[in-house]
Amino acid sequence: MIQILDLHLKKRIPEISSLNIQIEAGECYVLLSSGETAVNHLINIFSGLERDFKGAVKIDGRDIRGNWKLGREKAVCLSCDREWPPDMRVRNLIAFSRERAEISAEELEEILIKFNLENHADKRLHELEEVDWRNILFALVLLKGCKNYIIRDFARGMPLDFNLEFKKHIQQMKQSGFSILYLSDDVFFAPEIGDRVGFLRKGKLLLELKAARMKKMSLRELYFQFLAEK
Amino acid sequence: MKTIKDMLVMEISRVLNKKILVILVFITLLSLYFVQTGVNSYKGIIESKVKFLDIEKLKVKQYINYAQYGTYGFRILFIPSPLSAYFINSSTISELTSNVDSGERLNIYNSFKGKTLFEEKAGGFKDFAGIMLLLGSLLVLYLGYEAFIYKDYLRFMTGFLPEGRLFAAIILARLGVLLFFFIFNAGLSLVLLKLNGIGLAGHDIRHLSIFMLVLGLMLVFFFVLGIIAGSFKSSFTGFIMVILSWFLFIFLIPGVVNGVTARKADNITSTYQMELEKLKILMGFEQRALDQRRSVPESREKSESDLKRELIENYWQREVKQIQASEKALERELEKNIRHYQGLSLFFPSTFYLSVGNEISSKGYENFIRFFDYIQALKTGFIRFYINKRYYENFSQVVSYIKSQENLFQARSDLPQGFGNGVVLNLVYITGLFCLAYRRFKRALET
Repeated sequence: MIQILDLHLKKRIPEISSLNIQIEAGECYVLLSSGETAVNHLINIFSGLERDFKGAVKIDGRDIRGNWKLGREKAVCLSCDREWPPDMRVRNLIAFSRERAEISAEELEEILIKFNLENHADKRLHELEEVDWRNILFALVLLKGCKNYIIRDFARGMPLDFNLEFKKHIQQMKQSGFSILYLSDDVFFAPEIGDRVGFLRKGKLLLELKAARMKKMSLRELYFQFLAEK
Repeated sequence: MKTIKDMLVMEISRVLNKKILVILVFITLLSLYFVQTGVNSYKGIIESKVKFLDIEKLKVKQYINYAQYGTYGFRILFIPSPLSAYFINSSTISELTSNVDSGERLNIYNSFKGKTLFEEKAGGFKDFAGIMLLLGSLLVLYLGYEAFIYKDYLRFMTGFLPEGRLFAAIILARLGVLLFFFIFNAGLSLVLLKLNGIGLAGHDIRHLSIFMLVLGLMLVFFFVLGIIAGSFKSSFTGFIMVILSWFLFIFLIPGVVNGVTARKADNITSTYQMELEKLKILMGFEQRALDQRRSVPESREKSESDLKRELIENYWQREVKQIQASEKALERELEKNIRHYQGLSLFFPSTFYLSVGNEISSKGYENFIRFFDYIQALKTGFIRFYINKRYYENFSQVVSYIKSQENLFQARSDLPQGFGNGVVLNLVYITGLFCLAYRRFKRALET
């Protein structure tokens, strides 16, 4: 379970202010934000890299402030940015994550096969296709065996079959009781994977909708509702 | 601990990619080539030593009287330590010879006659120490720069390790690879020396280890500079920083330190001035001798040889001492300038490395001063020997002043003054830079 309670960022522009989100186990919450800054701050807070904030960020009911190790252990951040060492071998990454895998041997085997990891083991990162690279990244975070995920726009710009596969994985994760905070700016993809969708503007949560309701709304209706909240 | 170990394995495999391996092999081959060049040069000196001793003995046999021996004198050859093979091009002295005679001048020279004209001149990078400084520093700068430029990877890894441990693991892995490489290189060079039949004494081994320690400090310094450069948001700015810091510490600062030392050396009494002073002393003696001869009354009936002995003893007591004092004064001036250079060199890791290498090579300033002292002592002994032989003893054959191998000066590797302070200063720099690098690393992860 992920809880963000009355979160304020100090000395930051744009600030995140009075952000309240609670994501239950088995739920995917999509937070839509037009800018990258607020999203970066959120990821940094969950990674324990940004500690200068007011309010509380809880994972499985425990505040990560002052217990940054817990944040790292109980939650995992996934981003598709490719600023990774191009000469690193996939095998080494798998070995590193495998050592740390907090999942059963069967689950581990399943992930390795599902994401075709062994076939790419000898490749260096710069030799990977984008789809393979994202699959490997996704597999690596799954190997960590956490129940809480903060994912940033992972399916953006990818082919349709990848998006479908990704949605399937998210569904499976929800069924397994995982909590997912999905950070994106894709208003069409949000109701596809999320159970609830929040709209963040200038650091404030302006609107929150159930995905089922959002799916039924036209873009025009959505826009007017957003304007009304604004 | 296990996580750190795995991280080390991952970093090591990342560092040892094809590109870096090619560079490492290139540096190894180049440094070994230059060690071999140094070995050849050292062996050349050792071989010429035997020839030199024979020729010097033969020269004495050619003299008919001591007046000739006193005029021509004998030469002293500077024999460097075997460690000079590592510093054949970067040490102060490339080759030294001195000529000792009964005259007032003390000659120390580097001959350009014959094959020595084509020998490598000192002050370059074409040796083991120079290659380590020039290419080693560039390599570690790059590896430091490249260690932390992939921010997403680092952010991902902070999910497995706290940032402090991640920082330490990456640094330990990279420094481990680098230091192993440089120690391995030194080991290979020792094998090369052994294959060439050159054995190092305990003293030399100790100084080579000290040199490797200073090399390690210098490389760690450049490595941390690289890390700081890599923490810039723009990788282009970081890259420019790498190039600038390399140029600054390898070329500019050593150039400025040498320049300042050279400017300060302008205040040292020139050899022309000194020769004039000595000539004045000699002419003063000549004048005194003439006056004394004129003033001796006929009645005293002093024999010619007694008069000469009296004069020459007078010369020994007065003029020789004055000439020696002026040589000592010059030596003190030289020493003062050397201390100034060594003091200045302490402040920058690259100049400290150059200064330490210079002295460990046995062809640096400390050995020059020792050589200077040695030939002054020999000259004093030779003048006394010459006076005794020429004015007091009857002789049938000219006997050499050199009894065994006194005309060979065996230099030994040394350390510059303030070495300990230099090491401490380097450690302070490195610690400070590591703290700065860690702060920048944390900031880079946040942005």
